[in-house]
Amino acid sequence: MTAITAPPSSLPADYLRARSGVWSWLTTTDHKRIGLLYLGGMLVFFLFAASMALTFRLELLSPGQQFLSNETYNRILTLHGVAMIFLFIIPGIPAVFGNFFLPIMLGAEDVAFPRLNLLSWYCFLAGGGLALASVFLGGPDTGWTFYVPYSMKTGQNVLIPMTAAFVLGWSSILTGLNFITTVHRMRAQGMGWFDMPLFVWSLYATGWIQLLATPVVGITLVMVLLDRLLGVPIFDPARGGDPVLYQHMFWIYSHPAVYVMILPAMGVVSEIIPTFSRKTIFGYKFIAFSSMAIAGIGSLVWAHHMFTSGMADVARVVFSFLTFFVAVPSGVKVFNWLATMYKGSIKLEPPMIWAMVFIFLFSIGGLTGLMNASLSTDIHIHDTSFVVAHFHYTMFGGTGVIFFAALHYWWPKMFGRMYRRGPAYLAAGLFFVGFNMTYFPLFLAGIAGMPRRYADYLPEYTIYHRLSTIGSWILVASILLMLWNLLRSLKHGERADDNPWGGATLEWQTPTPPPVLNFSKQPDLSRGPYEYPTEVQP
Amino acid sequence: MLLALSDITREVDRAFWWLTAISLVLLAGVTLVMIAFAIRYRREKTTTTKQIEGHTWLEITWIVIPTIIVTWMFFLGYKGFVLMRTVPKDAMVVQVTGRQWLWSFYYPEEKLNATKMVVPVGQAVKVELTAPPDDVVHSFYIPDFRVKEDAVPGKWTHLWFRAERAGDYNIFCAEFCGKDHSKMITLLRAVSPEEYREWVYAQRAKRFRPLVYDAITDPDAAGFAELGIDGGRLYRTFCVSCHGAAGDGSGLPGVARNFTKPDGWKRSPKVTDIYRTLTEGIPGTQMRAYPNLTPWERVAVAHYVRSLIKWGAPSDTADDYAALVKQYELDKVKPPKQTIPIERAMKLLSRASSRSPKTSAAVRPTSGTLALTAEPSVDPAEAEPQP
Repeated sequence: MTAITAPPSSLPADYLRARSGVWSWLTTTDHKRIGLLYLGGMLVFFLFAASMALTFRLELLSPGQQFLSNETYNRILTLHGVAMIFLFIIPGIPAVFGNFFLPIMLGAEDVAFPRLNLLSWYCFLAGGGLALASVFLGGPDTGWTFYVPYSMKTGQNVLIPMTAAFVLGWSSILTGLNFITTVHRMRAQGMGWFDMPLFVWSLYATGWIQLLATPVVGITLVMVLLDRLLGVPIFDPARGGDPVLYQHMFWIYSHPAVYVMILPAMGVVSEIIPTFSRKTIFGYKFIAFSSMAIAGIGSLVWAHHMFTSGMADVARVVFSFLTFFVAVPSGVKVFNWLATMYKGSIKLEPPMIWAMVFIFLFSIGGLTGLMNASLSTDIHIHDTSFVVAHFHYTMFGGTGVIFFAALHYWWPKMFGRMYRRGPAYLAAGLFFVGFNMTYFPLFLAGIAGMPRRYADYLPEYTIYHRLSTIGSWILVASILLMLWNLLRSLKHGERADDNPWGGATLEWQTPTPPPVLNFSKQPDLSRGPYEYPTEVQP
Repeated sequence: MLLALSDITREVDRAFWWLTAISLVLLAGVTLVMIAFAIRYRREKTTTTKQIEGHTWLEITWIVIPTIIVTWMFFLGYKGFVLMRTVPKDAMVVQVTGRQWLWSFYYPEEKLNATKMVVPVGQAVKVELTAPPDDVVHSFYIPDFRVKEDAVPGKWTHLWFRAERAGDYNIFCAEFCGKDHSKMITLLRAVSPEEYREWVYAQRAKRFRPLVYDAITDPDAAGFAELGIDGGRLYRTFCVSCHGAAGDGSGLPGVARNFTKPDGWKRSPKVTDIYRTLTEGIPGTQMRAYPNLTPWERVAVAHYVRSLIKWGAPSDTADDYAALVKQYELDKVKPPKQTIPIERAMKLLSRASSRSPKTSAAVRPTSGTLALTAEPSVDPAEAEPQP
């Protein structure tokens, strides 16, 4: 990586042009290139999963069977969930933007274990490939949760997607390990823990969850394989196993995974808002510790997915009680973001618009989470489309929206090109309309009792489903417009400055796009990550 | 949601509306502040910023106040949950089994299996849930009553509700269970307590159809001959002295009922009413009750008497039969203790088991004897009555 012929100028070559050819990409250990490899793979998986959703939403336009049989519907639904969660939402922000920017923000040349980093991408690709392959080998129809005993009884092939989840788990663990080590060992000389950008803090908290919780899902999947292939009675009730045990083990991982999904997104918001408000972040330490609090409390609330599972009433009460307290650090973040905007100098560039869309949608997602945390109301809305709406508001309206915000925020730095503002605003506006139209009716349907994962529904729920389906068309159009606008800029976009937004974190000190080893000169650490002058420069 | 359908509905909806109201206030607050700041502090209007690094008391405020709010929210939900999990002592039990892809119901107090769920209005109902060990997880969900609980294979779980208004309510399966998950829907019918009793009797009558019920409706199928019960012989023993061999009342003219004439009947000339007369007598007349005859014998006699009526007397309807079964709880009457030769029993059993399970159930050994009488297809000609 170092033996690169330098371009005529004295500046080192940027990472995109330093080497060329497919092989140079497939064997790269440059964290920035690995970030882009993730981005490429992820966009493919995302569009695949989105097309699944578009298909079954079309089926749900009217009651009765339109063009999908129940079996096909269940498979498509499962693939949508598996692909979105395991291939887009969980790895999304850490793997793409974390990989790209974590070392730069720390003033480091790369992550601690560059080769491990490449291995984790191959694990991701292998897992994703297996998941896609399972489509053509029957397709699992269990939902992304693989609940036993159904997943052990169904004739559909669930072993392949389970193996895929297992391999993806490795990718996640390796990335978490890499990030934790990098944060501990690779900070630039003179950068203390509280000089780190908050995005780094959020990735640090995420890394611990990935490292500690992901092995549990691996163990669980191995137990399912033992049960299904070797007849070890762990979960199968017909032979004395316990299906509820599976649910516990599954959620011990998968609930903390929710915070793997959202914490990095919150970190990105903590970068975007100061930059576009020209203001130091309000309550740095509270935001940093709230990430750790979310990671900590979030690990103790898994069974709130199981309030109707038949577990002991006392357990339900305890888990409900604990769950409510995750809301507090999440609220702390939102209040601090708003306080950061106070007396700032706010420029509503596209990334800022996306961040504000996030605050609105995520607030709805978070507040409806309280209705799920509350015992008596959850018993009613559990496993209804209310929950579907809730987690789309948090996952898609939260993590997904911030993925888009991060794309718009860091795109000029990653590729050296600026996209057009007009289509970017239009896409964000259309997205806002389409998103709410797609998911808000599902809250109402859920309150009216519409169960989730139904291939068909009673006629009284038609209005909600029809609105949602029409909304999904607007939503997809907005996403395509956004992607077109970004991709178009690669060829036709204006050249971007080193610091187009006036940000204070270290990535804005490097040339655009960054050189192979990130910095052409020693980064200047005298300015803190959120230090802005009181005089506003235009 | 305005008119509550059950106590639980009322409690859950109250918590729900409180949570919604607080959420809306918080959402509106956050959104309005955000938009106000974005407008007030827009770049075009600002020349200086105020760099504030934080404010500890403000942070403590927005940690403590939300903590208080969420603790209160927890108790809101907890209160409803306690109600949900405190089954009233007088609750009636219905056992519900979920399997791919249908619900089935068992009423232990009535010893009744049913494919539909019917409950009396105003009565607390405890639903005990399970699924067969070789099935998958289902979830029993009645949206109108805000109750839901998983039916886990090999385990018992429960919920309870009290329907406060009569009507039909959806029951959904809420836990994904495979291909026809979205078709695992049935209706809960809440009816008045009287209608509920009617329904139970009708179900019971259906269930016990092979026993006395069939004997009343179809004496040929009942196989009285096999049981050694002969309505004609009993008539000639107990009735002929007054009513005469032809049933014309010739034994006690002018006093005993003349079955061959339509006028002056105290009860109707239906089989069911003749049975009532045999059971209770006709007070104020010389017709006495015959408690010494078993219900089976009374049925046989009633049919014999009916066969003597040659004029166009009204026939019994299905409702008449059901009413009679209910009145005297004939569905609880055990078959008469009669024995038949083993070869004959084996022959009947093997024939029955080759038939569909529904009919073969009729030849279940009961109290050590065989309820052959109820087997509808026993040909009387084939019968070999015991001497």
